[in-house]
Amino acid sequence: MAETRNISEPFILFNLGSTFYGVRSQVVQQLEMVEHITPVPDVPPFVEGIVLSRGQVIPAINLRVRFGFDKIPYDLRARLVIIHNDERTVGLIVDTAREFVDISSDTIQPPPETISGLSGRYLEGVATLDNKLILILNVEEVLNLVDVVEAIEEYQDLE
Amino acid sequence: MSTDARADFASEFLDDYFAECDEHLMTMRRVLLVIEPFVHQPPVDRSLLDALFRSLHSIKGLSGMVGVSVAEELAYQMESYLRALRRKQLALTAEGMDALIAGARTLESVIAACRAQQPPPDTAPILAQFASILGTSSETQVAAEPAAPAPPATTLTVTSTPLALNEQESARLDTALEDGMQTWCVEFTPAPALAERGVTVDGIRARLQDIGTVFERMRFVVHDLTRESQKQVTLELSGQETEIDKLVVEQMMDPLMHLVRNAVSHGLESTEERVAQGKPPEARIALRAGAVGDAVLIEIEDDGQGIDTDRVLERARSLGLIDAADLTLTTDTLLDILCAPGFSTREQADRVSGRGVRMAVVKNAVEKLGGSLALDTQIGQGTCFTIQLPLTLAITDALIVSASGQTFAVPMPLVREVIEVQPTQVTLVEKLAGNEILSYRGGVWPIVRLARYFGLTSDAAAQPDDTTERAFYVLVVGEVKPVGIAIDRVLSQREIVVRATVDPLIQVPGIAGATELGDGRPILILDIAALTRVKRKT
Repeated sequence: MAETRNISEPFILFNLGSTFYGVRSQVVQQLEMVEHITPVPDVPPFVEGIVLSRGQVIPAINLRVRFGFDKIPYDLRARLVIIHNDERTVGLIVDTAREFVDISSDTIQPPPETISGLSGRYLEGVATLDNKLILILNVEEVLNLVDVVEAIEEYQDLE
Repeated sequence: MSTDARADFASEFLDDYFAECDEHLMTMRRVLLVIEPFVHQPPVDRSLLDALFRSLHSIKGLSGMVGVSVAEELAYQMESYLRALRRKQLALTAEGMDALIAGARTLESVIAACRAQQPPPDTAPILAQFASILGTSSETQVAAEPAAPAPPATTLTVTSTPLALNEQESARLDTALEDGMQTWCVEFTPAPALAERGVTVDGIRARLQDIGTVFERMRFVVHDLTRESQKQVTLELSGQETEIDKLVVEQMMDPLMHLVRNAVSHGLESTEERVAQGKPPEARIALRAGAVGDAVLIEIEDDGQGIDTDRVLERARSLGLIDAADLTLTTDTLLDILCAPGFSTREQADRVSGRGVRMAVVKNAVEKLGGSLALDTQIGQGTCFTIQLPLTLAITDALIVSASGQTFAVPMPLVREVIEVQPTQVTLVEKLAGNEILSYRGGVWPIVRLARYFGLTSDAAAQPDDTTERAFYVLVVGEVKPVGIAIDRVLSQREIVVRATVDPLIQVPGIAGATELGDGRPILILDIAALTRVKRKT
């Protein structure tokens, strides 16, 4: 990680179950309620479908499925966190998303090896805030297609 | 948010709703007065019908948003009648006029009842009245051919979509074609089959039009407002010759009017206040348009009092819209706050933001078109709203169908025909691969079943024998060969705005993009070329 600079950045917190995750506000384009997701055939299982937001067609990724958790039905608290990163705009379906917090970089530790499956992959780090453990999301990895490309190719006929 | 703040929030949202409806109802009353004499001497001026339609459309939408469904339902019925009048599918009769007047009165009563928290009046009679007027549309009330310009005697003008013709109209069309009459469609591209037989398009909506027509409308708005408010305003227009997609113009008319109204009503100080500040007594509002690359920029600028960002922040905090600790306010955040539904400051001395409901509607309309709204303001000096819109939208006529339980859009230019066939016309050619063909009019069409193609159902591979019932197929001409796509039924035919599926995660063969039909729900657009080209491995 970078040398310690004490910079405080705004984050948006969301939950999957009782676990808190944080994503930099900077990459979040908007938060929306979950509605009108149209399923698209032949997509990886974690892609619930598409939504239309601001005239744009955006894939809606079910983060629970992406991380290998059980799917649960949506309720009124479920949110679509629309992220814009590296010219891609993607929506993440999460259980709840409400809090805006500032996290200073000196409270972010590298992810411990014991968080199986996710360490070094979808997590950029771990922070503690008010006795809460917050998993800082590595947005690029979450959106990364490398592992997904093979799956996509299986579905497609290559001409 | 505290419960008090929440209650205030909700009640202000409703206040905005009532205020908006009052205005639309007033417009309707005025227009109905003007229209009344035309009942016995049609045609009614199209712009009057448009104004009525728009008011009803707005009332319908707003009522839907705040949950006043009785008003929404009535507005919807009246809107349908206006739609038929505008398309000249119906002529305005005395009965229709009476219904419109009664309808407007009933709408007023319903909304007033809601305001007074009383139960609404019974709308069943007026709804039935409209239902009966609309129900007889295909029989005796079809309007005469449009008055101007009178088409030459050897031509037949078709104003409905070719697929939506009823039997009579269809028969007339066939006869005309056989007789060699010159025939044309107004407003709709004829299906390829008809185009081949010589039906051409006349006066098809030109995709682009000058924004000047919209700007000129604003002159009237400003004129009315300045008279009411006793402010002196000069309206400066520039860039009127900038061309913009017609559909964009239609969608932007209301939002632009709201912004101009806001500027005059809330942005400008009174003449006395201006003079006291050393400003010229006559205020200036500028409307500018220009093309920049593949976008059109529209600016609405006033030299009024600007927006007091501190007051806005304070109000937003008290409403719980932003965190108390959040000190940063960019113009984007300011705009978001102003556009948050229900945000509205109406105290006499505080003309900070104008009506909340309107701003949210403006932002929504702009974003739906794939555009963006930006704001620049300086307290004491004025405010400038900048709208950026795409120059043209990818628009195509499409057939909306239901297939395998899902709704899809099929681009019309590729549709040859929609047919209904008996099981005997379908032949299973290759059982293992499930290849079937359709025989029709001496031709043979390979069948595409979307359920199979997309693997939509787990037993998709096992249904080729299920042809015991009559079925519908859309015959399409793709890049490689014509095919018949099995569908459940046709839902409608309409213009759609094509939105590309950009992200690699959702780029799938057979899907060309997505669109939305007005309810926010995305519908997939089929890629006909891919469907005809690739036969899926099972």
